[in-house]
Amino acid sequence: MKKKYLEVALSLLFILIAVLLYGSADTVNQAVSKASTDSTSTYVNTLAIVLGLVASVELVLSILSHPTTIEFTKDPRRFFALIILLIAYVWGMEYIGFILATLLFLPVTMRMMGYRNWVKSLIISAAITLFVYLLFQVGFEILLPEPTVLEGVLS
Amino acid sequence: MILLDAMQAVMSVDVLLAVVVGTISGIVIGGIPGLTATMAVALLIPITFSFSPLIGLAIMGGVYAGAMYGGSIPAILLSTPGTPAAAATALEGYPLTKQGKGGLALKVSVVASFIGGTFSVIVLLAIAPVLANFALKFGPAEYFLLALMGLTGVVSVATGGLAKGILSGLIGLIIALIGTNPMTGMTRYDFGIVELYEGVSFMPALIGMFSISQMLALTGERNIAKSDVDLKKIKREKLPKGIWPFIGYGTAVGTIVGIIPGEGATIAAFLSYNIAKAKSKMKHLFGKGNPEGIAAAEAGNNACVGGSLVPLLTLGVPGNTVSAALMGGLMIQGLIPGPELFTKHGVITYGFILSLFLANVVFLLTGLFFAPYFAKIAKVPSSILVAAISVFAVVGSYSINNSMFDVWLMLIFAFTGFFLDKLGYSLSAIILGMILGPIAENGFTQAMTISAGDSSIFFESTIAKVLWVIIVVLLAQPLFTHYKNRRQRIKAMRME
Amino acid sequence: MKKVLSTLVLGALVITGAFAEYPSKTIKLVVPSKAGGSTDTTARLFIDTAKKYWKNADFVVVNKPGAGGLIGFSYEQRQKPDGYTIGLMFTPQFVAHIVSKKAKYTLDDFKIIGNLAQDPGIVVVNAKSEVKTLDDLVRLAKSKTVTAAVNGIGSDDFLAAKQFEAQTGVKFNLLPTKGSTEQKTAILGNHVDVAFMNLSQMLANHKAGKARIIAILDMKRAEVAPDIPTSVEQNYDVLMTATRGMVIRNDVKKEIADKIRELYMQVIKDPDFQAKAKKSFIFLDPRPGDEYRKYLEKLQADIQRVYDKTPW
Repeated sequence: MKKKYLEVALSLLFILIAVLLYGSADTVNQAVSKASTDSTSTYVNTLAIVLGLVASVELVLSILSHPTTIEFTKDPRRFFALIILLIAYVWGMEYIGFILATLLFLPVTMRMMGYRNWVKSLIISAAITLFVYLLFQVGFEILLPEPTVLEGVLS
Repeated sequence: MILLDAMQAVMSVDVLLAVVVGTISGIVIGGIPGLTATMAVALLIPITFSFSPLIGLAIMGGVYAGAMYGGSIPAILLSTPGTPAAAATALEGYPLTKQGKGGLALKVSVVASFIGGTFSVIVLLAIAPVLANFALKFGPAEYFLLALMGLTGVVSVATGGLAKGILSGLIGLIIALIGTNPMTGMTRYDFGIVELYEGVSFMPALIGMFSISQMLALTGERNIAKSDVDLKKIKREKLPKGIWPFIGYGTAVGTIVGIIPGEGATIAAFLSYNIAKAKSKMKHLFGKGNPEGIAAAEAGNNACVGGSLVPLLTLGVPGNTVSAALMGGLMIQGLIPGPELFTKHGVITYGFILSLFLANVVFLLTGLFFAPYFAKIAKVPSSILVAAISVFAVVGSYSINNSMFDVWLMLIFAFTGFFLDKLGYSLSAIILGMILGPIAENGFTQAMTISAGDSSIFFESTIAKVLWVIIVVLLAQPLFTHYKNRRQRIKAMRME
Repeated sequence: MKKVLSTLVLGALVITGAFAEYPSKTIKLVVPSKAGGSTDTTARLFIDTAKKYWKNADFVVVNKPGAGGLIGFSYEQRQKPDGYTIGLMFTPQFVAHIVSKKAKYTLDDFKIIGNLAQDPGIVVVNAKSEVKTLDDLVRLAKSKTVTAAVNGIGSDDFLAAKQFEAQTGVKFNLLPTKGSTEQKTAILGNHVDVAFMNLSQMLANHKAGKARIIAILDMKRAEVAPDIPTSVEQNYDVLMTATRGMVIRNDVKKEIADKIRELYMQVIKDPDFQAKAKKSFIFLDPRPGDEYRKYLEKLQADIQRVYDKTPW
């Protein structure tokens, strides 16, 4: 992918944010003094102006720059696989709970990353899950997500 | 006389044991993102009813000191800061680990932490009441300037050009706007999501941008370190020459910033890092693994431990969430912060302070002993690391507020952070903006409210004037360097 | 295969859970503020004592801090009505969020178990300030702009300040802060003239002679500080108290709700609980369900009147 075009697009996005931000904090509120509400808008507007200016400079710089290719990852297959696995893991945790989701996520991710030994990988996964569970839920009394998928059916 | 009695009280087997247990648990807590010293102290409060006061306090103090140091271990080894205060450490520590020098980085970190921590406790012991008044001189205007001073760090952490560095800092400041308008109490930029009313939680953002984005980068590698990690070599390795002044800068900055109420440790670490870079003779190595940066940052955040206890013990003003929880622990023992603490309850108070010395010694020994073994993590196959760290990142983001929303936030920060990083934007500058944004806005708007819109309030006090001078100095140095580098690049291009 | 098996195991667990006698699984005590704070300590002490009465029950604190309790209150209302979530709440924020239309819940969404503790509002100045009574404060406010620190808009401090303004006709320059620590430094460091706070937050500093509490915004003086006069004694009808109570969802079954009410009564009367609360600067104020509900309803109506005049 060409770095230049991404940079230009991002600078344009920042300029848009700057425009949207400017004036967005100008409010009247009777609960506090005018100096208070004014200072809030001053602060936000200053951020918007500086953002707009610096983003414009960056826009010019990136237009003038030489187009170079940008390499995001050496191994696109694994890179995107990890992103998908992470999303699936977090999404799944809300339904099947922390323990099950983790017991599934760990061996699959290790396999995806090239770990070949299933037996070892399952043992490691179980150990990590147990460790996290004991430390967070038992030790620190943090209630990790519980399975919710079946409760709705029953009650 | 009180001091001798206190020393005697500390030198009992059960208090010593309490310090050791507290400190080692603290290191673990600090080392695991999502677990905080505040949580640990909160859990301990109901239990300490049955302990003698000094034992309860010694455990809590140990946890506090240990956790502050512990945060640096995963920051160095896995670019996963266990606490926000260790974020600056990751900037230099992780590149060193990649070079197979993780053991050295860990050693520098533990020694710097020890010196910073110990010095600040000496200050606490010797002149706490005098310093308390300094803490109170900081009004909203001074807080605004402190934030501005921290923001100058944006210029020095910027790696991909000045414009992108400043843009990164601004992104952080704008993210920090999300939530509730501190002046009117109305919510803003929240997209109607209740979870955003309090703002974007900081820890998930940090874990996403520092940790998971590195795990994504690691998908293309076999393990973190490219060269071999030699256990024997690490054990023999000496600290780099000339590291001591940098520990000194961190210690000084941390002790001063720590005294000012407010989440100071993260700011102190970045500020020390910033000063270290300005003072260093090896500026070009910053961002690529310079132990000087670790030394300054770690001395800086650990020096906040003693500093933050100054306003707590003398005025009952807790500087941060841990000391707020600690105050709960003090009060249930009938120890009400104030002058009486140093006279009527002197034995316990001084005993507590002395136990902090011991906590520093405990983490120094633990850290030095385990450093070479921890360093081996760099040779663990990335297949296992990526999977395991992902789990810790997810659970850690969840645990801060018991919130799945925060986990999603973490993933969003991870993916966009990775993308921005590749384009040359600075993730540390975003983090810096996010930390300092609320302090800057709060300070600015509060100062303007007090002065009824008169901006001369930012130039009135002596502290304000001193802060302005430091801001100018901190800005001038890196701007000059950027300018010089640019000139050189243009020259080199013309030569071609 | 693994999934099928785990589904079966899960199913079995859920069924046993559904038919066993309450409480058969971990009960969550939702604390709508940070770990280590006063509400958090109240919850943890409650659990400590509750275990004495429900020997087989398991309790855990779930901290959901943020936005003046709103994040936590909303969370409490979204949980399943199975009696395994008990919510802590604090006033006036709990009802103030309803008034300011920020909350998606109403009072009717909850069964009120009862109040645990209270913390009266106070008016506090720096020890060196010339202001010694509320009369002094009014006099000063009429002669110059008086800056008053309150802990955020819509908080109890804010409401107290607004009440005071309405009563006396003075107008403060309100300084909203984030948290009581900022108020404390502002008072001790002389950055503001006066602050509206809560007794537990400033009691130590008052006793140490660093700050002066000029009035307690309550009908009667506080046991822990009998030297401080009330607002009523000084002929100002400004009353504000923060309370901390317990709620469950309204659609929790009556049998379970009754059990929780019984537990609440047992704990709040427990001498050990009372002793520990006292040590932690938690001022107990037992008020069972109906009585506390009436209080909340009246509070909501009062806040509505302030809101109608100056919305926030």
